[in-house]
Amino acid sequence: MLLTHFDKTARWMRRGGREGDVVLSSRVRLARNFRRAHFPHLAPTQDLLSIRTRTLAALETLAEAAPAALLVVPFEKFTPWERQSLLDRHFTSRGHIKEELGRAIAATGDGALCVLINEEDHLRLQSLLPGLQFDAAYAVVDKMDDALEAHFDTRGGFAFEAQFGYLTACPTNAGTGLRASAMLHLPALEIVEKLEKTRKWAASRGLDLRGTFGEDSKVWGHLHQLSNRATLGLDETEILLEMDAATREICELERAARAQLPHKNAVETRDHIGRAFGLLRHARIISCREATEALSFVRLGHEMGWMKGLSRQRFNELLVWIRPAYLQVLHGRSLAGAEREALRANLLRQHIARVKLEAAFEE
Amino acid sequence: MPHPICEICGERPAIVFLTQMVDDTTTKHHFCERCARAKVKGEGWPSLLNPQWDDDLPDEVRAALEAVPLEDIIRELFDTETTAPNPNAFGDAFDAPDDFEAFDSPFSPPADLDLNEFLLPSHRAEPALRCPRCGTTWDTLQREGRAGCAACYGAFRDQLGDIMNTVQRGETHLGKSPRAAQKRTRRLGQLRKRRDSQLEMLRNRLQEAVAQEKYEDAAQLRDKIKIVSGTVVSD
Repeated sequence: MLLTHFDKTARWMRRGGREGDVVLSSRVRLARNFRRAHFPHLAPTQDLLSIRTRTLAALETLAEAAPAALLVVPFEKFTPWERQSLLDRHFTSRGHIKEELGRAIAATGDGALCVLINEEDHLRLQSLLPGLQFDAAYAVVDKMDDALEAHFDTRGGFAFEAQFGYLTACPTNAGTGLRASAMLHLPALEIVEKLEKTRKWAASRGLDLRGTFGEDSKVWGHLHQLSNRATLGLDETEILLEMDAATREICELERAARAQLPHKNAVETRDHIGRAFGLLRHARIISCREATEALSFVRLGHEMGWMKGLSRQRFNELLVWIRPAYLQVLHGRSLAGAEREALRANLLRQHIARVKLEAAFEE
Repeated sequence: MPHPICEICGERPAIVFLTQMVDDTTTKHHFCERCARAKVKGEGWPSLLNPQWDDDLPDEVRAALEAVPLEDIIRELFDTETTAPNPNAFGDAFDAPDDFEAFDSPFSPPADLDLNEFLLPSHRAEPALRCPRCGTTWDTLQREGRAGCAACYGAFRDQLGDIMNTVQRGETHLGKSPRAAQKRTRRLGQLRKRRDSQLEMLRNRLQEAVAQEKYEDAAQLRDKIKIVSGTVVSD
């Protein structure tokens, strides 16, 4: 099955980038559309299919512009849960996997570059890298954008004009078409109840602090997405620099909150972490939500120096490996809810067995 | 789009639109109400039924059509113009509350009420602003937050500009443009070509120098070739 050809450990889960204690990953995406076709939500099926065919043919000839070989996933050929597993790894969006016809992604095995075909826009070039490194992620998509632009220039070209820049289905993406986002782990800010304040601070800088899977999604395991709102009226470098600066400031806020935990919220924090550890260590049946929240506290325990045994990479991997759709990909078959919950608990117990409590935790 | 003016008086706004098709050529006319009526009464109007394409109509249908005075057709045109459902007026029945009392209440307007019927022509609502290519209206774009195609940006430029000023950082693009990549590629191509022709020239001169046994020149040329061919021109 094709989905097993994707690396079990995506690039963003590995070590790399800066501010790894708070920032899990950096994502940069460019939205591009073809001048001559209606945007995907209005385009007739035939156009969607031809856009996909043309894009895949272009990617084939532009292999050099991609960091590695691209694997193609045409959505009609995959079940909804297989597509869901792509979302679990953050390779695509919820809106994209809901549709089938003419939709596809072409991605490197490690997800460092994903080309989303016929999502909200005809093309979305996305790069997902570990830690804070918007510059490197932008370089990946910029290179592919140049190549595709040159390829399609004599074939109608991208929808672009001087005033509104790159034209996108949603005018909130027009201009650069660039959205940068960072996945942040902010458990301490939540415990000291400063999350709302942080969200307002971000909004005052023209940035959104949102749920784990972007717009309108809930927060799972204290994972928040910080992303830029404006795409028009400032250039790519400005957007990336503003995002970089704001991300680092939020990292400082989270670190300050973590430093405060052993003094002001010692009992509460140790209780959360201890219970989470016990749960993951001994549970035989566990839901994805419960496991994600518990993993967040055990991760916090590691960052606080109260526990050791698991690497940041392993935490990132577990976050994805325990997701319902991904579990099925791992096992290569569909699993009933109860079976999934048992397999999830087994997987977690195996890894959590390596975790040891440090003396500092017992204080 | 400016409202068309009557082609006869050149003053009043046109409200009668006629499209005539004769042998693949289409002629369009637009008149104001007064000039249209004058034209019908005065010099008469060429038959709306062109004999070239109504030949295959059954005789009784043709007779019935010809019996209708043109003035009636025009009156009907006016009526359909003013009573056509207007998407701006009170939404449709699907948006109405799902209880029947609301419909019975004397204060709730009928679902298909068209306010324009009660207004003087000069006060009637503008026709919906619409993208000429994909047909998306400005209302739809605002409600769904999505444009239908690239042409929408041109069709709603003023409206979008206002909105961009509030939701975006400005109303003018400042970043990358597609031409940049193209220019860079072209420039690299030129440089590569120039290097290659230079190399060819140097190699020719080297051959000549060797043939003429000018070994000092040949050594110099060889060094030059080494330098030029070492110049990497790539992306």
